[in-house]
Amino acid sequence: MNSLALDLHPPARRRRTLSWFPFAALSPSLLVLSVFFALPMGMMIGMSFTQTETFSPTLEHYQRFFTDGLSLAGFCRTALMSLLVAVSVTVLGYPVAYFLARSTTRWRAVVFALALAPELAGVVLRTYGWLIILEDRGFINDLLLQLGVISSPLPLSKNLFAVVVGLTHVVLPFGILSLMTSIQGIDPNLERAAQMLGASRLAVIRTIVLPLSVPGIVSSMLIAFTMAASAYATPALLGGAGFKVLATMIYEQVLFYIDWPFASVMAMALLLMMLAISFVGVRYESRRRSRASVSSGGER
Amino acid sequence: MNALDIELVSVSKSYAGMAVVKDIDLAIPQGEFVSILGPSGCGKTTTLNMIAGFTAPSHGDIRIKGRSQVRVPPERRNIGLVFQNYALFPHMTVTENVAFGLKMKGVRRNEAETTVKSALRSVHLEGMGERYPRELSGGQQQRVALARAIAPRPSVLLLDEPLSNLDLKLREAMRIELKEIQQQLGMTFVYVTHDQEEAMAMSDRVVVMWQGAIAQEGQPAALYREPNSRFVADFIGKSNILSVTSTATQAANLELAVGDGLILKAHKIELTAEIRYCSIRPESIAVLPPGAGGSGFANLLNATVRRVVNLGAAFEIDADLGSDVRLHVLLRATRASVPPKVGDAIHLGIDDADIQPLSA
Ligand SMILES: Nc1ncnc2c1ncn2[C@@H]1O[C@H](COP(=O)(O)OP(=O)(O)OP(=O)(O)O)[C@@H](O)[C@H]1O
Ligand SMILES: [Mg+2]
Repeated sequence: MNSLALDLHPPARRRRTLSWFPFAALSPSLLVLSVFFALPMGMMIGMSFTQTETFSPTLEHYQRFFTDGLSLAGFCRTALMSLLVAVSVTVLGYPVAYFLARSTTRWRAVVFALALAPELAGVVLRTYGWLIILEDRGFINDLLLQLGVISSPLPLSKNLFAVVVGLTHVVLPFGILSLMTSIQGIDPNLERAAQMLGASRLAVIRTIVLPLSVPGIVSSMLIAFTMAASAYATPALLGGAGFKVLATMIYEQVLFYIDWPFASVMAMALLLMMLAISFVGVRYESRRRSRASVSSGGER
Repeated sequence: MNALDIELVSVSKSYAGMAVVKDIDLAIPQGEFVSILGPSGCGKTTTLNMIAGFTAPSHGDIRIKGRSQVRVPPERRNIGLVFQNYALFPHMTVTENVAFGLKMKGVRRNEAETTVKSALRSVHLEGMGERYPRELSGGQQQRVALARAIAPRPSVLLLDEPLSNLDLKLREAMRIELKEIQQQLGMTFVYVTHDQEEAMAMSDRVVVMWQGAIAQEGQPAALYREPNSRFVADFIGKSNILSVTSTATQAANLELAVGDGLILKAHKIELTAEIRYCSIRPESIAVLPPGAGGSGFANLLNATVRRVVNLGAAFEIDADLGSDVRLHVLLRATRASVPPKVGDAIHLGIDDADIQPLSA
C-alpha cells in the first residue's frame, strides 16, 4: 500500500508543476506558424470550397477532381512514385547508415561526407545531372549503343523510373541520417551478445539490428515519402511533359489555367495523402511501443 | 590433471603503440573457476575480448581445447559471454532471449524448449518466460543473461563484472549462486572483476592483473597468505606494508629492519632479490596485555594505542610502535575480549610466519 502511493506520487506532481512551461516555450514558434502557415492554409481550404464567380460555398471543385479522370490518375501516380522513393531510399540508405553508425575507422568521415555531399549541389543541378546520364542520347544509352548491347535507346528518362532515380538521390541523405540515428541508439553489445550465441554477421542484422531499428525505418520512409510527394523540380524535369504528379499539376493550374480553387483542391488532396501516411506511420510506431508497456503494466 | 580449456600464450595487445596487455601466459583447465582480478584499466576487459574474439591480439596465441583461435570469429568459438550491462535483447521475451543461442545452432524446437526450461529453472526464473527484459529487476535481468549464456552449453563462460550493477545484498547472494551453477554444470568460468572479495569468495584460482601484466596467480588462500608484491598484498585484503631498510640472515630467522631501529623476525627464506617491504595482515597480530610475558611469539613489541574503532565483529586498533612504525591491528570481538583504550600501553605478538617479506 504504502510503497504504491510512494511510487505513483512523484511523477504526477512533477507533471503538474511543469505543465505551463512547454506552452510558454512554444509561443514564439506558435506565433510564426500561425501567421505564415495557418493563415495561408485557411485561405487555401476556404478557396477549395468557394464558387469562382458567386463566391458561394460549393463542392463542384471536389466533384471535378474525382470525375475528370486525370486528377485521380495524378493522385495515384504521386502515391506510387512516393512509395517507390520511400522504399528505395530506405533500402539503399540502410547499409550506409549501418556503416556510419558502427564504423570507428577513418573511412567513416569519408563515407559521411560522400553521403551528405549531394545536399551541397542544388536540386535542379542534380536533376540535370541525371538527365545527362539517363537521356535517350545520354551517357548510359550512348555507352550501351556503342558496345552493341542494345540497338535502340532504352526508355530511361521521361518516365516514372527516371523520377524515382532522381528523387532517391535527392532524398537519400535524409533517409540515411534518420536511419543512422536510430541504429546508433542500439547498444553494440547486443550485436556482440548475438554473435557470442552463434549468430553470423547476417543473422545479427536480421534478428537484432533490423527489428530494433524499426523506428528509424518508419521515419526514413515517412521523410522520403513526404519529400517525394511534395517535390516539384525533379518530376517536372526528369518526368517530361507527360508525367503528371500533384505537385506539377498544381503548378499548371495556378500558372497556366489560373484556376486557384482547383489548385487548392489538388493541394488538399496532396496534404491529406501525406497526413494519412504520417498517421499510419506514427500509429504503427506507438502501437509497437504501447504493446510492450501495456504488457508490463498488466503482468506486475 | 584435466584437459586445458583455454591457453593464452604470451598474449599482448597494444593500441597505437600503447601496450595495454603485456605478454600474458595463462592456462585454464576444464571446469575451473578462474577470476581475473585487477584495478580499473589494467586490461581485464581487453583480455576477455581477446578470448571472446572481438579483439585480435597484437602478439601471441589464444588456444581453446588446444586449437589456435586467432583466425576463428567469435560466433564459432563456442564460448559464452555475460556482459556487465547484461545486453538482453529488448525486443524478445525472456524465453526468446534464452532460446536465441539454441536457435542459431539449429537445435530442434522441442529440444530447445526443454533446454530453455531447465536453464530458467537453474537461475530460478520459472514462470517469467513471457516477460520482456524491461519488466524485470536488475537481479532478474542478470539471471536471464546467465541463463542465455549457459543454455547452448558453451565449453567456457566468460563473465565481465556481471554483478557490479547489483546492490550489495544481491551481489553476495549471487556469488554463492554463480558458484553453485558453475559446479553443477562443470563449466569453465573466467570471471573478470575488480572486487577482490568476489574473486576470493568464488574462485578456484585468482589471476591478479596490474598494468596489463599478471602480477600473481594462485589459489585465493595462497594469494592472501603469501602475496609476492606490495601491490598484491595491498590489493587483496588489508595489510600493513612496512618499508624494509636492511636485512640480516640469522640462524633461524630473517631479520628485517623497519623504521629507525625496529627489527622484525620473519621466516627464513632464500633471498633471490633485495627485500624492500614486508606485509603483516592486521588479524595476524595478537594484542597482549602488558606484562603477559613471552608467550611464544617470535616478535613481541611494545606499542601505544592511538585509536580504537568498533567494527562490531572486531575492533580496529591503531598501534604506535615508536620509531615511525604504526600498525593496524584487528582484534576479534568476543565476550571475553576487552579492547584496550586510547593511550594504553600494550604488547603486540607477531609470529615469524606472519611476516611476509616482499621484494617489489
Ligand atoms: N579500443 C581501444 N583503443 C585504445 N585504448 C583502449 C581501447 N580499449 C581499451 N583501451 C585502453 O586499455 C586499457 C585497459 O582497458 P580495459 O577495458 O581492458 O580495462 P579494464 O581492466 O577492463 O578496466 P575496468 O575495470 O575499468 O573495466 C585502458 O587504459 C583503456 O584506456
Ligand atoms: Mg572492463
